[in-house]
Amino acid sequence: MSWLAESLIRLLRGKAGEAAVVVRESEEYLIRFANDEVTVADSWRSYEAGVYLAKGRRVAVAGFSGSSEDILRQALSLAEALDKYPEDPYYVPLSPKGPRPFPNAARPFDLNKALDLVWEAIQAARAEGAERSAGALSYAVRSTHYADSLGNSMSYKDSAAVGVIRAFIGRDLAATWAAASRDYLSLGLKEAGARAASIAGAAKGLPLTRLENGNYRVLMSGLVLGHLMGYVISAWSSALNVLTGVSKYGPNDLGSEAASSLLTVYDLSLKEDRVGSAPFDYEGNPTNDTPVFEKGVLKSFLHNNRTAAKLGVSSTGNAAGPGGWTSPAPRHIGVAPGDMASDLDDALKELGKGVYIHNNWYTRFQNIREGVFSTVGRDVILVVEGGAPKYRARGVRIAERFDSLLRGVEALSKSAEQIHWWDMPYPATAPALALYGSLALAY
Amino acid sequence: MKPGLYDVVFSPELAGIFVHESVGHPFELDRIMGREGAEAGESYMSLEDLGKRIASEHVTIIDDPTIEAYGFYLVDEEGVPARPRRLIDRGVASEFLSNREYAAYVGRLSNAAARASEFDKEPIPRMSNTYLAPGDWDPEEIIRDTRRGIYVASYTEWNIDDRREYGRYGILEGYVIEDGELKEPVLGFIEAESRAFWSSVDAVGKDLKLYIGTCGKGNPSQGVPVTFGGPTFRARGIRVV
Amino acid sequence: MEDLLSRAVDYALTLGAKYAEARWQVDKGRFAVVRNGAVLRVGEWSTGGISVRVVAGGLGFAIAKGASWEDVKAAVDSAYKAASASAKYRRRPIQFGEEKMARLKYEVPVKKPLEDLPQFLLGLDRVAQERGVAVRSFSASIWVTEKVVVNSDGALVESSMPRASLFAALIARGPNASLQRNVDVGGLGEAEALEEAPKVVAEEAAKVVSLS
Repeated sequence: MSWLAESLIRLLRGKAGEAAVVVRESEEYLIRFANDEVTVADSWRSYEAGVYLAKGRRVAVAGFSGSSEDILRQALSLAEALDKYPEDPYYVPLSPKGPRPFPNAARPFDLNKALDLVWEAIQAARAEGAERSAGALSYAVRSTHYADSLGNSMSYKDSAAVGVIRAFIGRDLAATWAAASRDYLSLGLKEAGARAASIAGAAKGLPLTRLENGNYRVLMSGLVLGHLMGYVISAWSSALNVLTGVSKYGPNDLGSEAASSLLTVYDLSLKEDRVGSAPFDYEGNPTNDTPVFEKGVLKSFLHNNRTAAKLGVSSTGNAAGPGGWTSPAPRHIGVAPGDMASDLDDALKELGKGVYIHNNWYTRFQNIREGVFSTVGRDVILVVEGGAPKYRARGVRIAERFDSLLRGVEALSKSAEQIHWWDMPYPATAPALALYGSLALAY
Repeated sequence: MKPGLYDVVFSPELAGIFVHESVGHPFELDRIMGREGAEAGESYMSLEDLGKRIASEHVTIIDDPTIEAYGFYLVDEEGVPARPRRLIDRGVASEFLSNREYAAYVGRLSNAAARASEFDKEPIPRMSNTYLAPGDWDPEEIIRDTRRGIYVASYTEWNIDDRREYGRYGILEGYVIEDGELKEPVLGFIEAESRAFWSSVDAVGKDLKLYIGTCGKGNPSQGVPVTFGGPTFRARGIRVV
Repeated sequence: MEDLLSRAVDYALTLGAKYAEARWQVDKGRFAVVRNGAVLRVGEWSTGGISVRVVAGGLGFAIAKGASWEDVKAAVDSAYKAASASAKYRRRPIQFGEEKMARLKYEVPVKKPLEDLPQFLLGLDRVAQERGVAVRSFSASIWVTEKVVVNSDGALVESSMPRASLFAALIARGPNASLQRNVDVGGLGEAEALEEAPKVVAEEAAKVVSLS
């Protein structure tokens, strides 16, 4: 039990009817590199506190980070202002149901070892034909403590490592691979470097073409699938968005066929080796591996206590972070694998004629409720004919609707892996490749 | 409306998003030199482009932290006094946004673009208040001067590739222009290849307006307050689909 | 604060750093979220402390866990260690130029305080609702950024900057589909930065309804 969580509750108990705090004490490290050299090495040691206060039906929430003295001072000032806050239409009393079992293990960080891993990855990319690489290795060790004014307390310790490498050939051929793990030593950054370079190499020598706007058969990597499913799940399955009309789904859509029968997507908040999972949420509730789509059927929304009370169900334990006190959110997107090849060359044969999109970024919405979005391809984009790359393309977007992403899946790779990088909204476990019969691409 | 090439008149709102995405970001020197390669990306600009014409003579784009707006500051995080930076001066690439480290690589001095969003983030080259400098046209005059084209008042979904070359901007409110008058509404997308786009500008209005935004870059991601804007302007032969 | 930061910079130089910079920064504010006429969330946030950046061949950055000299010294040690260890993985050492350094204290004053942010957003929500916008989401923040920066080249800069920002997503339901318009308003200060918000929300709400 953290002394800071305890001190906060002691301080707040008399000032608010109910108080819950979640204190996170973190050690984080980041090594960035570009042009095959290390550009910066960062380290952080910090306290963060999420504070939830209620008096009658008046509710205030806050996130504070900095020194413990500052956090205590600011929590007190929040409590003193509580009478000025409006009543909360979603108010429910605190009712933590306690944690799941959790391994509570984390390897300490060794900067020199991590620098060596980065160097090995750069060399592995070079050996596979990269002219230069950029990337990052990050590692965090965190202790998380929940305490409330009812006398409950619970804690866990976890870690998260993310390794990303983007291999470049010339100015505009590039490919990224990204891995996530609980342990920075088992990220496989070296293998990621070799893999990124070999994917970039697949476009070497291909003539550049301009893709016309239209519908194409599309093969996408797990980086793209994991990224897009993160947006679908957070926007459409957060129960707050369901209740307020921001999601396309209403409460009565549960049980309906909303996706291809090949598609099963979970929020893996409980599976302990997945980055982001946790034994309990910010309301002190046990987490779950929650099926959102199971073989295409819309099975569940993601709930905290507040949204669950409105819909007469139990929380799924998705009060993830201080924002989760208001809006439930996923922690780790799990897309179940299928039976297609995981090897790119084999899957390109499966694709036959179409487009391979290796990575994407900059997803923006015209309309979140309709799920109308576009996202820009980055890294290599291969135009494939007769099962083999014929051209490379630039400036290609997937310009689609969530519904097409959910319904249009034709095949998923057999192997799934844990991935995360800078422009993925959540860590994910996603099949290496996903095949779509028809997606709209735009320039 | 048939997809094709049109003369397009853009509102100050569109000027803002264009300058931010297709000039501000690609003029960040750390990005040009690859430091953001695995994250926010690189740039269509290279060091050799400095001093070269990359836009029409009507285009001057300035990033100015000393304007008292959302992106205001007088000294950057590295202690360098802030000043306006003419990124494009009458069509010529004239200055990149730099911090001390990256300025030194190219034998220059920093122009005070090092910003950090919070205490626990490293300072890196960023924009502040970025705008297309006003010209001498009345905005209505630009529309009256356009025989057949499109006027775009506001945008919806937009994005750009990580080298900032290929932008695509959804039209939320737009109208056909016929013989200098606004006619029926149009929907669609503007496809803008950065250099070709700025090279096709032939009229710039007087009605400068700034819009606020949070600009994202860096690892860990840093969102800094910025403004971006400009006046009404016209670009010829723009692909609209 | 200036003394503590200067001590950190001096200590980094004694370790062998070519350049050091220490920054104290606090961002502190309040926020509110209103959706469809209901206040969903009200609260505060703050993030603040001391960071140290050191050049010693490579570049190291670290933050202090607290504001005591021991915490700050530990951050300098970490940043120096990171900078010198990563130097081995660079082709050339990092060096800064000879920029002129500022010694300046400046502050932007709040002209019009905005006390009740939830009420302000509820007012905007009514404006959009009256114009027929079906789904309305407003979030706003008001905060102050305070900083002191000291570096080994002689800079000493203190600043205080208040800012306010509003984001609104307005979704109108048409006969066939819905249409969304996002609106951002903000600037320096508090109420003065959001002065235009009611007018902008009214105009954009009317527009999104008519276009949908």
